Amino acid sequence: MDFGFSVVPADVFKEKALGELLEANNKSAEFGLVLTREEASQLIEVKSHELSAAGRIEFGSSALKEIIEAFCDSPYLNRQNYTDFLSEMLEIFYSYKNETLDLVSDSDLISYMKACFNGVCQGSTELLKTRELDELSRQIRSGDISLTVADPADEFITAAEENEIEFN
Amino acid sequence: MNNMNNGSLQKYNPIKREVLNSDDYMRSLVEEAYRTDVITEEEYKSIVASLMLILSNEVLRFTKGKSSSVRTEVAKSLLDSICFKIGVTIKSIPDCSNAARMLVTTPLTELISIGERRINSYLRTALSFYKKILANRIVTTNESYNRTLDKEIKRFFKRYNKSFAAHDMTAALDLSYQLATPPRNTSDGAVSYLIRYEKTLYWENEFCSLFLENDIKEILKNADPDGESQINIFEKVLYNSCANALLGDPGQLVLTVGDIEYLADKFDKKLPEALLRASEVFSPKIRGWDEFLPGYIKKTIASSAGLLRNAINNGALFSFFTAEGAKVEEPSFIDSEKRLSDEAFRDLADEIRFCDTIEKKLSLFSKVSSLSDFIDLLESECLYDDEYKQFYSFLGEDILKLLSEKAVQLEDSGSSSEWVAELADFLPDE
Repeated sequence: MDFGFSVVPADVFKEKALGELLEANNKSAEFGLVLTREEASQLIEVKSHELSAAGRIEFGSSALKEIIEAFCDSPYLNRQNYTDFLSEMLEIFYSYKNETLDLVSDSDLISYMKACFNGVCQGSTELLKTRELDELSRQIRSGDISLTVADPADEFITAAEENEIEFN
Repeated sequence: MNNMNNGSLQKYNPIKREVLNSDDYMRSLVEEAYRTDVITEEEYKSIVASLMLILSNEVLRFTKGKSSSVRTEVAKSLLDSICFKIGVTIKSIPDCSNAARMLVTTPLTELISIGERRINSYLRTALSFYKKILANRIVTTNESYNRTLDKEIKRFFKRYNKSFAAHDMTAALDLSYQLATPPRNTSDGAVSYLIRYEKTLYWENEFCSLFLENDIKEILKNADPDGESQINIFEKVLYNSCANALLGDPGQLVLTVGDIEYLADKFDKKLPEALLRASEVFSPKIRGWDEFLPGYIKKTIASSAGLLRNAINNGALFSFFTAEGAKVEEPSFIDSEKRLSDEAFRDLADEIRFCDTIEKKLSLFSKVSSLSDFIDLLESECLYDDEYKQFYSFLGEDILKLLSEKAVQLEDSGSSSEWVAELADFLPDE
């Protein structure tokens, strides 16, 4: 048996994640969007794949639930394109978490994606990716804009301050 | 199971500490404990599951709850930090099997808390030592010494991330001043290493404080004229002070060329041992001498005993001791066109050949201001046998580089010279 980090599955809380997705149906059902247990299970597989492809690992509450709750009232979604849309959103979301250097919180990124998707992109995931999110990433990387951040660098500075070392 | 050992009963321990990876102690202990049946498969899985739960909380803390996912390398670093903290706690348990059982019987969060408290305690110790070395620091112009004391150690306290990267030594600790005998780079973490470094530096400073500031400046004047050399001040002070003690004048640092030649003649290959014995003369003058310095001085002298004997063989003792007047004024080659007349060159070459010491030859070499003349002097067989290496040992890096380039050109053109061969021998292989 190997006790290395590599053996830890991308999503170590699979059952919990399934429960969360089915719970999200409560809200999305208002808009006629409901995931079956099988669809939810498949989406969790997709999520694991996309996490792995993006070189990320997820703990705690799933971003997928937040995506569902944010997008379920979109005029561009219907029962037919719902699961494919969610699969694509997973790929986009984790990919742009990386592209935006983890400087954008989950909630902010999802809100931004929703605003663009329902607004200027008029329901096009392609435009969302190649135009809006690419531009957002470019501006963040160049330091042109700053958003609500979950900045690891901040954490390090805070941690250094926690060392409570004063010299002066 | 018990084993007989030296007539006494000793408990059989299936986990040998020496097979554990000290850089990744906690994980290697769990693996070994599982392999040797100290813990069951269920217990093993339970430890992994607990760790993952702790990691998930740590990720939330790290992202301030604003991101449910992190890049794998971030998660790995957080996990390494968690395991390091647990390792700090269980490493102190001598019986590895007991330590492994503790991972099963004690909540890991509790072991992490103990580890964190210990790291905090190490940090306080490191800070206390830092204040001590600031108090007994040497007044010097050596840049790396001053940089380490004034900036690098202070920066460590600001950069070291005990919360999320407690294991990460390299990110926070970057000390440019080289100790005479650096502490072992063990896997106890950055703070433990820093404490050992500071403790060593404290005693190096203590030793140097026996001597007058001006005397230290005087001996560093030659070894480190511009303050930019990667020298260890204690080492320079140690060799010169012990040499003076052998000459019957402890308390002095400055040596003459004659002093060094006398020591080489008198002690020859036994010089390292003589220096070590001579160091004892300082013991009554330093409070707490026995605590650290005897072993450290012994290690320092022992580590360079071979080089010291070689230097005696090659007549290059000046690389160990700093003597008044032993430093050659290096040619600057500012005016590379300003060559000596043929007659002046012949006279100079003759004069150099008849010099009886390498120091005098070095002084005469410094009279030329053109690289071509310098090379021509080398080609004119002004140096003999071992003199080449002694000669090169006194030259600065810039001149050696110029000579190397010239040597390569000569070799490429197929010509061979003794000075080229000796230079190749002298310079370390690239």
